[in-house]
Amino acid sequence: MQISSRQLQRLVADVDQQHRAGMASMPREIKDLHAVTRSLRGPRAGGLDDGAIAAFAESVELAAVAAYTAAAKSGLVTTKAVLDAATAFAGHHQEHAAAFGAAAGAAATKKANPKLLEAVGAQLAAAKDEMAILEIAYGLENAAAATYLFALGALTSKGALQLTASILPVEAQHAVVLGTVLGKKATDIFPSFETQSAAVDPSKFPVAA
Amino acid sequence: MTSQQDFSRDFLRREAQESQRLHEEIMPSYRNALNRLFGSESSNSADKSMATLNGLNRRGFLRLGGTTVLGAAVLAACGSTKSAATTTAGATTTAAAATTTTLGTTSSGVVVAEMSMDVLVLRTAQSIEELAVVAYQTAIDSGLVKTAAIGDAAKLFQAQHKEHAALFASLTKKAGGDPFTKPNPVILDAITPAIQALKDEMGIVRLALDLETAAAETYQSNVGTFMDVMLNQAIMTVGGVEARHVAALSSVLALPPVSKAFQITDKAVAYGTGVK
Repeated sequence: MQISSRQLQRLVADVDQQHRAGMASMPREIKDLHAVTRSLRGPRAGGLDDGAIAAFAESVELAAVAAYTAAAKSGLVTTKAVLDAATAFAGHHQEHAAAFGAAAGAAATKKANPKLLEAVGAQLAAAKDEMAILEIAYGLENAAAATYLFALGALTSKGALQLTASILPVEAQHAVVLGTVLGKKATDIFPSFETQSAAVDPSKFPVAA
Repeated sequence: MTSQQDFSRDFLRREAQESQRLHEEIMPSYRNALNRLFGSESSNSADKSMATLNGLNRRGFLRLGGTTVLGAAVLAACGSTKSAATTTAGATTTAAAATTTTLGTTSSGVVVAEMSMDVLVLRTAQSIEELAVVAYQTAIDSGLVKTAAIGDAAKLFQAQHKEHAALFASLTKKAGGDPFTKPNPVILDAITPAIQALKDEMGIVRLALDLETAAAETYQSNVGTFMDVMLNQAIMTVGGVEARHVAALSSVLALPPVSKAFQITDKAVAYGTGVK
């Protein structure tokens, strides 16, 4: 292939331009890469296999169902629209639990995570009004999203990975609704990246025996 | 483990019907959510609750596929390239097929490039983010956005898409590829007529919703396909955020902010679309 000096000059200029453009954005890209690397630091799977992780996720979902049910019965949720949303979200979590339970197979417990239930139960018992209930639900939804981000780093089968990836966004959307009602700052409701910082740690919140 | 096919058959399909029914019955919209998010903080909590969650139960809006201004164009474009991408990937049936895709040939049949599947997925992701950045800039510059809260949301979301693009660029380099720094040309071509026909703020929000939905579903669809398993997490650090954007924009359009119990991928952009 022949190439003229003019063509060569133009190519060199193009490469130089691309190099300069790349160098200009590199510090930001490195910073972002480090940020996401940090965001991926979370609980350790501790040797759990896919079935055990799915069973753990099932237990988290059932704890969320129990929390929403308890909240609805608390008498503190007085706004019908909030109650309706809680009912809808509880229904989603029930479906998530069924899906994770099926994924877990023999490892499924069909029981709410006992320690998570205990922790959320204590928060609900201390709640004084509807906003306090919503705050608990907001934390729970963000924790669920973070937990599934953690799970995506531990699961190995394509089916389990894809199931988890279909649920994480829904928990994040629940959090948007609840955070909006709570009047949270936009940057709280819409982080730049999902993180594992609020993930439920399976070693600290084991499934029921 | 139950297979993915079982999930689809036993849960996802049933869920799609059930959640549709559920939302028609009880899930309200919250049209003015962004006003409260980005606007006045004077309203009290009860007002926020009612305004956010109450009110609209528009069955017509629940048929998501039929409501999008640009969805058909995007899907048409992506659908055509999806089959092409599938064909290309399907042709690489050697041992290396799982990790390497042959990309494009000249008219004389000479192979012009090869790149790993991971790189191809990441370049596609970056191209979508770059497109979102440009689309939001177009919206901001259009003069059609009259509501300050929507303008503020557009700026925040655009800034986040810039961060997402930078992340995908970094990951592409890390995977040994060259970042794709331009808006996805196939999708851009598909939506350009619709962009040119935009007449009002709600049209812009619908465009944003289409792009955010495509992004969220694309990243979900990529999970489980990576050779570098760390990327399953990395892409969903972004995918979850796009889903949050979808919820907010849906609310502005009086659509359910959480449309179903499981996010599906029928609007996902096939990897390789426009980035070969």
